[in-house]
Amino acid sequence: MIINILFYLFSVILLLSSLMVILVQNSIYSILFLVLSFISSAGLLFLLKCEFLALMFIVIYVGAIAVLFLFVVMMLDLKTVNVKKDVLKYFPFGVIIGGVFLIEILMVVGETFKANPYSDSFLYNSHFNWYERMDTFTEIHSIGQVVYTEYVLQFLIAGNVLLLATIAAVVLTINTGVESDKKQVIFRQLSRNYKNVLII
Amino acid sequence: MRIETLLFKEIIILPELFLGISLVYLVLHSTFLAVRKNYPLIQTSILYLGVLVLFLSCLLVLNDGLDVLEQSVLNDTIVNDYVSFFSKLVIGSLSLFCLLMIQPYLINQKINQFEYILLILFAVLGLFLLCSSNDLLTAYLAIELQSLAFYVLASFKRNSTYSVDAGIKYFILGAFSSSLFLFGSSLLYGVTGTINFEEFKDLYVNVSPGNNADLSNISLVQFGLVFILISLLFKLAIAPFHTWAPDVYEGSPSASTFFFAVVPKLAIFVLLLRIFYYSFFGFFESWRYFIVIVIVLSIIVGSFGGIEQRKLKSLLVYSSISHMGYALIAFSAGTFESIQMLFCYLVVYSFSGLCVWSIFVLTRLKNNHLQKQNKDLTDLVSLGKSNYMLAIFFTTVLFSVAGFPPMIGFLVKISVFLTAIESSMFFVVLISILCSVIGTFYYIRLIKILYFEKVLVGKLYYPIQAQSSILISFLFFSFLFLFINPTLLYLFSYKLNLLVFTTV
Amino acid sequence: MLYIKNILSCILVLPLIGAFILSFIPSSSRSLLRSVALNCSCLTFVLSLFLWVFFNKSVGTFQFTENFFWIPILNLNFSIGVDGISLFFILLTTLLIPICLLASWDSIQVDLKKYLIAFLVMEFFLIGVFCSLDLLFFYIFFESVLIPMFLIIGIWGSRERKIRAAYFFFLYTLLGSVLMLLSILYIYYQVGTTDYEVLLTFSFSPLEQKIMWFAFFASFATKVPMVPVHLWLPEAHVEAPTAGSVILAGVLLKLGTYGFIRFSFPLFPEACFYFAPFVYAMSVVGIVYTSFTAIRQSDFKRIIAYTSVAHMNLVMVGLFSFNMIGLEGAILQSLSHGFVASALFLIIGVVYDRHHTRMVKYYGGLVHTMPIYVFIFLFFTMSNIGLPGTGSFVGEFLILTGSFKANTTVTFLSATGMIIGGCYSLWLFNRIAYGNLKTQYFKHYLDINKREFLIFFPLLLGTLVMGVYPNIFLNSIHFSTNVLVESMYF
Repeated sequence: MIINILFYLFSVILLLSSLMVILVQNSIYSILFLVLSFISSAGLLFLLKCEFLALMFIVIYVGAIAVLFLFVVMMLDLKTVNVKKDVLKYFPFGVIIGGVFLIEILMVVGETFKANPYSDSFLYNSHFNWYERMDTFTEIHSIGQVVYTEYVLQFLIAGNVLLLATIAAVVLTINTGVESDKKQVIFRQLSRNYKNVLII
Repeated sequence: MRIETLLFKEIIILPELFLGISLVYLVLHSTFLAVRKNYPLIQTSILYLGVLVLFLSCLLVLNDGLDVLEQSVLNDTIVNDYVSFFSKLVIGSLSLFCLLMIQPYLINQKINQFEYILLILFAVLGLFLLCSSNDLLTAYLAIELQSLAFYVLASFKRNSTYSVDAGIKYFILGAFSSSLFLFGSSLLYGVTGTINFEEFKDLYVNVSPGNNADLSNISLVQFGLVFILISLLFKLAIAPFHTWAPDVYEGSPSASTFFFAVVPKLAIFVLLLRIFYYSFFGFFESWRYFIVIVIVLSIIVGSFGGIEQRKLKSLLVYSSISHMGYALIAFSAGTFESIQMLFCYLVVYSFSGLCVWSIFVLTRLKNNHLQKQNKDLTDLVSLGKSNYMLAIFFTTVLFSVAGFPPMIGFLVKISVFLTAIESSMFFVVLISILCSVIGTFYYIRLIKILYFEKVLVGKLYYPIQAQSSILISFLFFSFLFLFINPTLLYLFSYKLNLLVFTTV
Repeated sequence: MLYIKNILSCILVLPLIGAFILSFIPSSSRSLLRSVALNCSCLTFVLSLFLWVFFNKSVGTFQFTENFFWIPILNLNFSIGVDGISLFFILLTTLLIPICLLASWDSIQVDLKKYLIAFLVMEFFLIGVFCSLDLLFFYIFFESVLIPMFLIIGIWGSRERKIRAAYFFFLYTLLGSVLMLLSILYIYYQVGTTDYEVLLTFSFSPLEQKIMWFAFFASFATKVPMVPVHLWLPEAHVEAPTAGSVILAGVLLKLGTYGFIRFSFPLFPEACFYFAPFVYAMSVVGIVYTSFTAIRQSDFKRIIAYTSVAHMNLVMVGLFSFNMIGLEGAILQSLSHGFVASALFLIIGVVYDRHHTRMVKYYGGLVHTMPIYVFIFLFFTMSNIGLPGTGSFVGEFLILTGSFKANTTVTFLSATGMIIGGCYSLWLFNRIAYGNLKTQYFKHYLDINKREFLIFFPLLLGTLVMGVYPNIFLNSIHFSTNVLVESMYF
């Protein structure tokens, strides 16, 4: 029961904060909303008993990626542009398209999944079965057992993708610095005239 | 021919392993060479090293010849059957030719960073893995590997706005389509509990096309399949998901566009084949009508859009959009021979794309005072006089791309239409064949510009180097030979066809 | 007597070998290029005469047949063979190509090598069309003819509108032909092969026949040309060089009628009977309308182009009369039109080479300075009208007799078309040949030289022989036409 409440809470926070990421004008605010959406999705993952993945979300997404975004926004001089006048123009059309998709998803999901009559009752979690909780793996244990034995190649491919990403980042931004030295042109310096220097 | 050593007899992913390790070695080698005081230009030597690596990996693909019909390793995530063998060979040899063709272009356009070649090799690694992937996770990772390399290849020229623009557009739309793929595959995992194509096939073995033909019975599986289908159609640049293609293909440096237009289409079709014909063949009827609409839209957009274009690259983009439409006709027919004709069409399309784009990359204007790299149509004027044989080659390949009789392009096009007639899709065939006539117009217009103009001063072109001209003449003769004896092509694709449909 | 076993494939491949040899000769040695091309095409003509000599006139089946494997998996193979109907079309082709090459001896200055190679390749494709016994290869050759013709019109054409004419020619014909392609694929799907002799034994349901007949009709009607889709013909004829017009009028127009005889009639007989009134109506409109239009033209070549349309539509009337007289008349009229129209275009070519204009108002009174030329012009004008003693008369007479059996109104209306034909032809000839010399436009007049006389001589002889003793030609056609007509009625 309380899991349901927490699920609805985290989902609503996730949806609202991702909506606000695109709607606010100030860049810092939108990054902070992004951080909020990451944290609420980490909360969702906690509810699904994937604690390792949830903490990884917080460490990597919030700790590395959102911080990277903040650095970039800090270094660039972004002006907050007021784009409010265009929102209402596209609002009805977007609502119709989004509504169509929403109704479709709800129809399909409603047919596929049936509610479990046992877990809806109030007393569902009152009996605690210690027996089946004795020898369970933690999540990090089970991830390790699967990823490094059955999906080794995929792990290596992911590593290759990261290698490619570093090469790409270097290629796109490197400045070999060979052509950046400036030279003096003595003739141009000596042939200055007072006429094109002084503006009266 | 089979090279057997004591140690490496049973490793199925030896080509990919070799490619990956030699890539890492090449990164180290070239970094240590290039980052010195004078930043020496090593891109030509790295290119030839890359050619060598690709050639050896193709040899390794040949070496892993199949004793049995199909081998799957690594917990059934990698499969090595005839489809992957054939497509890996085709992709490897096409990329080999691409690399050899773009070498003069890289020198002329001063693309001095050696990482260009490395990125191409990464993309080829991704395509190899995509061809032999047997579950959704490997496919996604391979698509990401290939797409990431392509995003950077598109925006390689940092001081050109067009190039950077193209890179950003490609990146955003590619990431969007990959996320659609991921959403679809997560839905499939949620419903079935597995991500392996074999297990999908075993789960849905009782579902046959025509069973759930009424559209009110949509299950979550079809919902997930729709997302995967749309994401893959995005990557193929098919209408109505084609709007990124003209800008991206035109803004990228021509060598990158060469690669985009020729090589990845075959691999993505292999993935489409595995998902929609092998695993989920029972759900065929649910997406068939949708694909028919997509086909007609692509062919109409490709034929009518190309008429207005004044630049050669955009013209070739629209022609590739319409060609993907024709390939999808074969894909949507659902019969036994349709897959065979699909593969023939894709191989011939890639081959003729290779020819056309290599001509495009190799011709270089002599008084290029504007330093522009993008050819207008009128830049080709009187090529018939300045480079006689190249114009003849261009004409021949253009007639094949247009699907006009005595060329191999005509033969594969009628094979595609034959499969559609066999499945009684008459209306689609009628519209597509009428639009192909409209599309023929802009190909003839190119020939007109080559030969018919009576201008006093044409455009002069630099002569082509000896290496490129040998390669081009080899391509020309194999092209002419393909019409006289296309039996080899049909035999290979027939064998491939038998293996896809082993249980259906 | 020599008898080569594979004579037909020799004839087929010889122009291609000639084109191949030509590509090695440097383009500066003009005389060597021209002599090699002329020798090659004359050799082809001589070999095809052997076809006629050794033709067995008492059977109606295919002779000199040969079979080649192409794609055995898909059951697509290539077979060639000759019967009475295609024999004379092949002869016409191999006769006209050397004449074309001779006609362009001096008038092509730039890119002579490409021109000669284009003509020889086109000869290969044309012979391939007429002798292929396989539906798919017929289509392939049928379409491939467009490529060299497109290049000839576009590169060596005469005026600024040549590009538009080249586009018209290509795209009109292509649009009609793609529908035929769909029918061929459907036939291949139903029958399993595209071999002609197998297809003759197969019968389709009436609805299928009607749809497929209409698709085939769309393609052949553009080639014939019939009235709504005839617009490419005046443009293409006017803009093409002389030799291009000759081959266009002489052979390419016959592709349409040959396609009707060879494919529409045996494969879809019921649909032919069903659509015959429709074809009659269109043909009659074609004859009358184009004849009237030809009166108003001021361009010499355009008049002759419109007469070509009128004559070919008359051939269509003869074809769809479905009896032996009409059919033989149609074939004979096609042949004689091949001679006469080519000769008329050569006539205009002679004058164009000298004065470089085609407008009729600049010419007058040529009989005073070019009497031999005017004699030839008179002879062919009379053939155009259909004077007895020339081949056209025989053809027209047989056609009108045959269609009289089928439908008298159509015969009456087509005959009026012939009268109008007399009107414009005579008026044209009068304006150009008789009257006063227009010395305010031209000062120098030169009569025809030996080369030009030589190109007219075979055509003259052929028309005369066809008019006086047509049985030489009709002998070989009898049995094949008989087989055709009988297969339609059963």
